[in-house]
Amino acid sequence: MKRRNFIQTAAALTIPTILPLPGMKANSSRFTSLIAPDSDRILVIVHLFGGNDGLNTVIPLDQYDGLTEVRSQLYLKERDVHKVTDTLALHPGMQSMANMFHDGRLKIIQSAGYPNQNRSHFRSTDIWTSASESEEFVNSGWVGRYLDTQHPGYPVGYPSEGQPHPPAISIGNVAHPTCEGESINFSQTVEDPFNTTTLANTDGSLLSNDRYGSELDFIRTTMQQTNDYNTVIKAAAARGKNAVKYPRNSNPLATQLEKVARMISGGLKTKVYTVYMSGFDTHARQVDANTSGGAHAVLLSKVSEAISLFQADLKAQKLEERVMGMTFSEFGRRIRPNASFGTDHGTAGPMFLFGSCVNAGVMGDNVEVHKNVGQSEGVPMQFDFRDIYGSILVDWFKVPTNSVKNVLHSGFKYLPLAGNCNELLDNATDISKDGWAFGEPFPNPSTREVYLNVSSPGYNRLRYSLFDARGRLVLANEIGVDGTGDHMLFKRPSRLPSGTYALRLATETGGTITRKVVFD
Amino acid sequence: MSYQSSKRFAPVVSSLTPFSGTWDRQKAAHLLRRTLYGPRIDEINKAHRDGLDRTLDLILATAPVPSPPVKYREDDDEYLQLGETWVDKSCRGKNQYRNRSLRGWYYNNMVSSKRPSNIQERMCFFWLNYFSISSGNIDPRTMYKHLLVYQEEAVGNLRSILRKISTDPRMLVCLDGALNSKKNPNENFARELMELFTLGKGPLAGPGDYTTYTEKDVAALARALTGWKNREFNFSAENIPVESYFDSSDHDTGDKQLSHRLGNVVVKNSGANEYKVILEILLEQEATALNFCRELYRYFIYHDINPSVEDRVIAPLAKVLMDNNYEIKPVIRELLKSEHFYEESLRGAIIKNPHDFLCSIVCPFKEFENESVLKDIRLRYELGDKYADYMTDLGMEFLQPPTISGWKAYYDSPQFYRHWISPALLQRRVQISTAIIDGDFHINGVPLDIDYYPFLKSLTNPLDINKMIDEVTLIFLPRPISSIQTAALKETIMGGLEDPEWTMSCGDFLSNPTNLNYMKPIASRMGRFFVDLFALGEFQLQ
Repeated sequence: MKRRNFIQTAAALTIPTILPLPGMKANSSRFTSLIAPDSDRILVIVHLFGGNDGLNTVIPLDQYDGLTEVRSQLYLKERDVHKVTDTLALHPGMQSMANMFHDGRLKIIQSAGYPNQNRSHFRSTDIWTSASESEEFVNSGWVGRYLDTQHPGYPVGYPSEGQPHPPAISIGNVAHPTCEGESINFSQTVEDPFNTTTLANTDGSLLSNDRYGSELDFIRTTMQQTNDYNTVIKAAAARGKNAVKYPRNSNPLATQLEKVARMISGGLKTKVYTVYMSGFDTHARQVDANTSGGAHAVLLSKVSEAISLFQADLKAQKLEERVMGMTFSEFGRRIRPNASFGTDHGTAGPMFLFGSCVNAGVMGDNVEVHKNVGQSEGVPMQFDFRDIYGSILVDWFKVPTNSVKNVLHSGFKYLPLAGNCNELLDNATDISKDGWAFGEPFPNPSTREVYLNVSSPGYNRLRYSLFDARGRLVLANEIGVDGTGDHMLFKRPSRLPSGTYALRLATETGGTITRKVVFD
Repeated sequence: MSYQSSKRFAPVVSSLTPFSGTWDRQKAAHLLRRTLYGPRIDEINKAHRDGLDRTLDLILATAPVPSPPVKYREDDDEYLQLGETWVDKSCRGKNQYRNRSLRGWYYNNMVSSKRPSNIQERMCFFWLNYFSISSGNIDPRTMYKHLLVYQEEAVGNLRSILRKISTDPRMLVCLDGALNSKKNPNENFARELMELFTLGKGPLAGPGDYTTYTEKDVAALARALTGWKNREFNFSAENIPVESYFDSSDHDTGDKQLSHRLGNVVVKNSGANEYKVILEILLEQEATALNFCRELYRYFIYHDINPSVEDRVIAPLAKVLMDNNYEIKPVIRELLKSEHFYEESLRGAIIKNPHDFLCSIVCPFKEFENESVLKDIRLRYELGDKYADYMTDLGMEFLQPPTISGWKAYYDSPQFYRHWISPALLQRRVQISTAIIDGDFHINGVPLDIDYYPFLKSLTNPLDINKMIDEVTLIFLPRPISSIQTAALKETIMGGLEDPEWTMSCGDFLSNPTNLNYMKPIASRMGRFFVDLFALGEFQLQ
């Protein structure tokens, strides 16, 4: 199957040639794709809660002098670990993920973190999920901010015929903070796609125009959305299948990924899934007397088993190229162990990316373990985690770097992480017609009104959203369209300064297209 | 567009002017829903009869604290008898049931209809959220100890509770006070004391300057608070209660220079009393009173504190607090008797937290008071423990606030109370309310049924189906519902039958409550009715 970068439903739409404006040529193609094109790609985020001990997960084989000295009771014997390169190995429990590495389906990122590490679980989780600075408090999550650019106005009008599936799904009871948008969390929480509860039908009785009405409206919307999304989730789970056998009960992460694979297999177009596993806060008895056993070994073998089964499942169902995964933990642990065969909260740690489209291999240098390392020292950071997130947005969701800088941080530096399948994607041209056609907005530049020639197959709703050069949503609404004609989309609000804006048009049948608007 | 919590409505015009409107049952029920847990019709009627002032006397009276939790099942605690309390006994590390005992005890107190109509339990949770002590399942004796502080100080004195909590054994562990030593000061508690418990963090005015205090003050306070340790923590072979003590040899006796934000005061060595000196300095600041009153406001009224609320409600409340030597009762009284509290547009706008949700289901029925099986101490505790599990499912784990800032519903803008609601959490809410009501509820295989006889008996006119439903919505919902909704609810009972059928069947049941032929049809219909009522969006509000 050829990858397509413009479609999100079976019905795609006619894309007229985008005419660059005089003097804007150089930037225009980049600018018009300010809003990432929709694709059927999926990101699965695996949260390892508690602070994973990176040094006993990804083992620097060239540091055994230091390791045997500093981690004398904790280090893993060289004969037990699974070598992935001459100088790097994975934990003894991670045979399956080592196989994925050799198979070109695993990327190991060394020492990801952020400056001024906060060693509190909750605070550091907030930082990792919001992608804030360590001193900054941000309520939204990084995925949520990305989805805000994709689904302006959400949840108003969702689900719709064109966007019938939840933008994100958090497996479990709690909407993952990563998916927190500016106004609402984008994730539908799903414990079991087959066992959902239908909530009461709201009778649409009038809402009072006060705080009570506003809160009640929120609850009713959540109820309605819950039911609508549950319906499509259940249907997808029923249509989908798992091609491999996952362990029952003994591996909670595998159970969650099994559900994810099944929903993907059933055709759910949700873009982001979050799963989690806790228990990584290994202050005591992290290892047994034989260091390849113990609490940490149990956890990592479950992670390895779950991720490799998930990958095998997708591969067998030929879904591999649509899915990539990413693990993260709120911090790594300290280099020196404590006196309880455990480790305390540290700083940077490794991340794994998995899938057939990741640039497999190792990124970064081995952690250096000095014999005189201080008791409270963690692993120094090599990669800013926000550059990893941002590069995933660039490589995987085709978000332009300008826009990534808005969503993440202005100092964003691209890292090649997941571009393995992109050549194919960029050459894709198979766009079919569903009867829609759009002209260019006019006049352009405009001082006040903005018009657009639209052809629609019968009466339809057309949603438009206007973004400024920083990718912020500044205007959104919808109009009714019947047949072919010129429509005034909006009058320029006086608050909007002169400049170039991206106009995103979304049809009821699910097509989207981006146009450029210049205010003079 | 109504999805922004920050949506502003017309500025609040009411203020702390005492309420002078008509005191009806709706208003009485509103007051009780916000101060008791799940008020019953007899409580609502009494409040209506008594009037606002007498009702407030009752609600705000200093209530006796419940008797302590006990050993309720055989376990590795052979030196304790069943029914004997463990809170002041030795702790040898093998007493797993104690954590469950504490949970069961707490939730049984919360739902018990035998306790007075009083604000104590609600304030207890207010404090739990305010100080947000969380540090894993450590010595349950200390967890009990600080719950006791919250019960005793429910409507006590801010100074007094700050003193108790500053040296509370569990707080000393939670925010590292016990590790705060002369040689190696730990700033954790000093920082949160100012940021969360007293002054509140103001806008950043310069490097390390948070307007209300500075980094210099954090360092100075940390030094002033050195020397507090725990005794017998997590383990004691003898019946010695766990407690904190002051170790003068580990106390920093040097001068502590505070910043200009705190008047450039130099704190001299005062040994074991130095923390009181510190607290006095913090209490003198108006910021402390304002910060505290905002917390109260978010808990009792609404999350949105706009400039008008700040000026007309928060500031005067803070003055009441300071003028009354930090006594809390006059402040809450002022708030609950104000015009503002009864303002129509604010009524019913709080999304219930999991406690509110559970209690608003079981308390109006007097929970399972009819079930003699619950005289079995083990079943009683295990039922309370089951409630605790429900709370965890709904996002509120017992004594485990997510962070030291408390639950997000009370501070995280713009979502606030909406944090309690998500698709999964809403589904879970409906599963739980349905499980409790639909006749299959049990504890350890012992079925527990709602007893509709005393409930119906307590209503003004149970035999009139329409009046019955109206009164039930008064008890359970924050505002009257539409006639369409009322009709749909009525349909679950009547299924198309004429009203007199209810009058007859209910009358037969009330005259022959033990006759199954009369009882069963009423119970099953009331069950369906309540399953639907509790699934309404409106039921999530109070």
